[in-house]
Amino acid sequence: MDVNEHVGSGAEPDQTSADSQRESDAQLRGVIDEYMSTFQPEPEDTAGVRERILQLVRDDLYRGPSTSLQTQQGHPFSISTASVRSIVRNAVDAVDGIRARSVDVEPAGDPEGSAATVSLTVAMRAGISFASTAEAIRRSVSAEVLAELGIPAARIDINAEDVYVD
Amino acid sequence: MTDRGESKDSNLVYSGNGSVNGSGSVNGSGKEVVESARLADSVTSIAGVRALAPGLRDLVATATAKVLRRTGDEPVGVDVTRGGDGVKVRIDAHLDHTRAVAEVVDEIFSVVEADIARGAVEVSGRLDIDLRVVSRG
Amino acid sequence: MKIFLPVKQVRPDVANMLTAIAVAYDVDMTRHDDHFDIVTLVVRAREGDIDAFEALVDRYETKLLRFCLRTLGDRQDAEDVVQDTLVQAWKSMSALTEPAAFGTWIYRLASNKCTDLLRRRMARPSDAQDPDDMSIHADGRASVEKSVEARTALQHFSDVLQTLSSEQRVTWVLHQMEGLSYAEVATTLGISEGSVRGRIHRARTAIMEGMEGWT
Repeated sequence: MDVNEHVGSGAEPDQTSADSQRESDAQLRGVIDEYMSTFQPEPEDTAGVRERILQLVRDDLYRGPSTSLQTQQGHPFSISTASVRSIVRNAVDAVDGIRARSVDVEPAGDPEGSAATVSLTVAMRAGISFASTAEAIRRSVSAEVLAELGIPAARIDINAEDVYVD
Repeated sequence: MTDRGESKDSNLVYSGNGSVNGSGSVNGSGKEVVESARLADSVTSIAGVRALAPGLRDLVATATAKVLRRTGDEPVGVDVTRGGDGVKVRIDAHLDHTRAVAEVVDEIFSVVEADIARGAVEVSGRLDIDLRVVSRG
Repeated sequence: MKIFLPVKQVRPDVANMLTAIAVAYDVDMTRHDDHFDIVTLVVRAREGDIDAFEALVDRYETKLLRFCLRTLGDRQDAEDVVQDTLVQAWKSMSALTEPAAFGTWIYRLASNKCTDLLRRRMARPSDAQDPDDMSIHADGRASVEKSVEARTALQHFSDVLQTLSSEQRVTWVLHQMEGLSYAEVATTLGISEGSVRGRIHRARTAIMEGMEGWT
């Protein structure tokens, strides 16, 4: 079989060329399929790569941005922003039908850092009434931030930006 | 609720600016290395403190062993350094979920205070405790 | 406490894009405890949520590894590219303006790395892979004669693939083995559909010529 279509950058094949291409593809199919099957990742391959990736990511996270806060006793400290967001995210996810998306926590209060302002966006399950759920989110975040961080949330802004279907 | 600034010793002033920098290289004197190790010992024994620096899980050991393990660029969980106007104690801690962060922070401060009061760390001038919670999990 | 509550519906263009991406990169949604949608995972991951990132790794790692294996023909190289790709994705995820396009984006990162690696290989002919080193194994159950035959045709095919330009090879694998349409390949590589067609034509020609008599 002879493939003799004109090959140029962006050349559109005519019908004869398209037919001959399909024929040549069919002939090659056996070899291609065999080639594809020889390169299957083993579970241990992916496990090894996965572990290395997550370790590198963890190391990168340790060097990430921090949020400056202060305990009620007046002791200042900084905490990885990722850790603070994680506390808020867990509180939001705990509310049925809600998934936390973007979380922002800023130091607030006087002295600054003795309280926190929380802004978050969420995705909500289709059919959920946002007005009543927002109250549940507010309660959950407020309680969790106080219990896990030990610092009160002075303000919680919630923005629903998407709907999901389970 | 305790007001900020109240302290038993008038020489202790918390200025903790919460600053974070990536430099891990510390060329401390032998005394500061030993002091760092002592504080590290105390801090790691606090409930809620999982570890002091990434990778250095075995920091709870004798002061001598810790001194030997230190190299210039190794990140150390506790760093005591002396500047022109006082002493800076830098602590990088990994916490767990068992206690509220603020509670552990308060205890770290009081443990460091107690160590200073009993002479484990010599402080003249300002004391600056720069505490960073690196992770929580 | 003040709550700011504008409620937004899913934008139609977002919904369409989500569908399009799901068709191109049909991900296994049953993995991981979350079942979270891609947008949620990406938004969270780029804010430091390592669990969300782990979920993304779980969903894309095997497909990426298979793609890189097929393109590069070497396990170690493929693993290195996948590792570099996913770590780069973590570090530069804020550069991804449309979280829903994560699948396309990750394939583009991997494709570019594969192309670079292939170019480097071709620039150093003395370092070219010894075909015997490539991890191609004959079907152990076949008879000796048949397995020698099969190995030769397959081995020859691998050799022919190596003669393609790096761009042709990556493009051809995406289309022929990963099953992407011309349009999807174009989106992934960030090139025109015309360029995709051109590369695939040239690749086909070279493969057909190279395989003449072998199939």
